[in-house]
Amino acid sequence: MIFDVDRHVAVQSYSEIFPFMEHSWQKHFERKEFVGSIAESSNHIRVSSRFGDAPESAPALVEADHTLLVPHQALTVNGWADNVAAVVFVEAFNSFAAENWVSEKSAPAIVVSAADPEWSAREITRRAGDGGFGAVALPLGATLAGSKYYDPIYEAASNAGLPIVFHFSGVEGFYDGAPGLGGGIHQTAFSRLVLLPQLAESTITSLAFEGVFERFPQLRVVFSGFGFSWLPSLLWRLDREWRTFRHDVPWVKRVPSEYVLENVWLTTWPLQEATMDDDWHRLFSTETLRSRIVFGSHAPFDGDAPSDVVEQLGETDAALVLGNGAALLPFVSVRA
Amino acid sequence: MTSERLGSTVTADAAAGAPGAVTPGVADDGFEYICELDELVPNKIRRSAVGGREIGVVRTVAGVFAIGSSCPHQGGPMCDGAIKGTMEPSDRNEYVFAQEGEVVTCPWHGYEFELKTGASVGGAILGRIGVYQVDVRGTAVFCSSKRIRPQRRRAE
Ligand code: FES
Repeated sequence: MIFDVDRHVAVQSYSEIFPFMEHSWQKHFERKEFVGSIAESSNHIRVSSRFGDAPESAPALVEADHTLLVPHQALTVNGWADNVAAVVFVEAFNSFAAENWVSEKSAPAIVVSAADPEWSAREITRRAGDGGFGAVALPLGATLAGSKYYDPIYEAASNAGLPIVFHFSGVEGFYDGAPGLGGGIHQTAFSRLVLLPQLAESTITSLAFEGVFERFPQLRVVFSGFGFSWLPSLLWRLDREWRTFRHDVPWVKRVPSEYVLENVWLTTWPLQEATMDDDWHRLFSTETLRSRIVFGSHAPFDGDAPSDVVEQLGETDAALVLGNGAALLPFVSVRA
Repeated sequence: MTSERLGSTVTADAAAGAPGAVTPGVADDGFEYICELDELVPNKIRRSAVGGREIGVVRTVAGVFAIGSSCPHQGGPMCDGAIKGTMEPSDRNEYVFAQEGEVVTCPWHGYEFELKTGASVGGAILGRIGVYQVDVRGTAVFCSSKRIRPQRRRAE
């Protein structure tokens, strides 16, 4: 079985989502600066013309039995100044997704807004009730993910049995409202891209130390597109500091790595960074660590195909990683 | 007070006794004389030689305790540790301070251990520090060199 936990879908024009919003909001959005901004939000990481100017959308991966579709254009609301409009935009996107991207083998993620946890919780409950969705994509907000502020979202996702997906939108480290990158603002989009794993490390640290998994033990969280080779060293650091400073986070009742190894998954892309120098075999030496890594093609952007996974990990581990997504998408497999 | 940090002074104490000691030296039950109770400065771990091993004896608000001198983590000198309380496991964003005077932290990486059981607080590590029986007989403090064996289950 192949589970592709990170495949990207897009609309070709924002006018495609207009029918899914109130007429007055549609009129508000019908302006060049918004409709024209699709070119900016569609290349995914804001590297000009890297993937061409037209919005890119990946057709379902033929070999995959189940696919999670991430509407990356909607994720860019983490860089919006108008958080009221952001919610209308995202809601319309979810309605479009329900009509156009749900199939027997693929399920889109419900996109929510970090700026409005209450609305997001309602949206999760409603869309999950309708069916067809496979996860909740929470764009990274300025407030770290471990904060109680997001509890309504985690509670709704837990109740709905849907995992939370964190995937960068491309505006992180660049636009206010989205989290910054360590050190400061980088000049180029590609330096930001190089450093995006920082956000996953930062978010995992926040989730672990602020006791989110103690509060929501059923919550499943997947980090998509951040790589994963850094995970073992991060876990070691989390545990080491917890052993000294446990009394500062007494709500973390077990070694923090235990929570991460139970509640967190990471997608493969870019797989190559973890396979050079035999790092995969050296660092991902336990079954538990290997179980955390799920195949995500990251298509249509530069990503990995199942054949790349086989080539880089060998048949046995590739089979494991290609199938690991079953832990995240049971909803999809039940539906099929 | 400075000599109190030296193991040799303690040996001399044990041999010569201290003024007012009930039974200096080794008692019939194998407990060894450490010092007078009022010689133990609160929360200051006194290095003592008991049965040939270095044991730290300390008086805190919670009682008198005796611990092994080596940290199970990387061998840090537990006799230089600090006496504290700790935060009990609690709900998110809540602090519940407890165990005042029942916890010692290692000076090297700050790991916390329970003075009563030697266990790592909150299960931070599997290893534990040695803990020994202490007995206050009259005005004198006695200590056994036999380690208190960890109980399998702690009574709630
Ligand atoms: S040696 Fe004691 S905490 Fe590290």
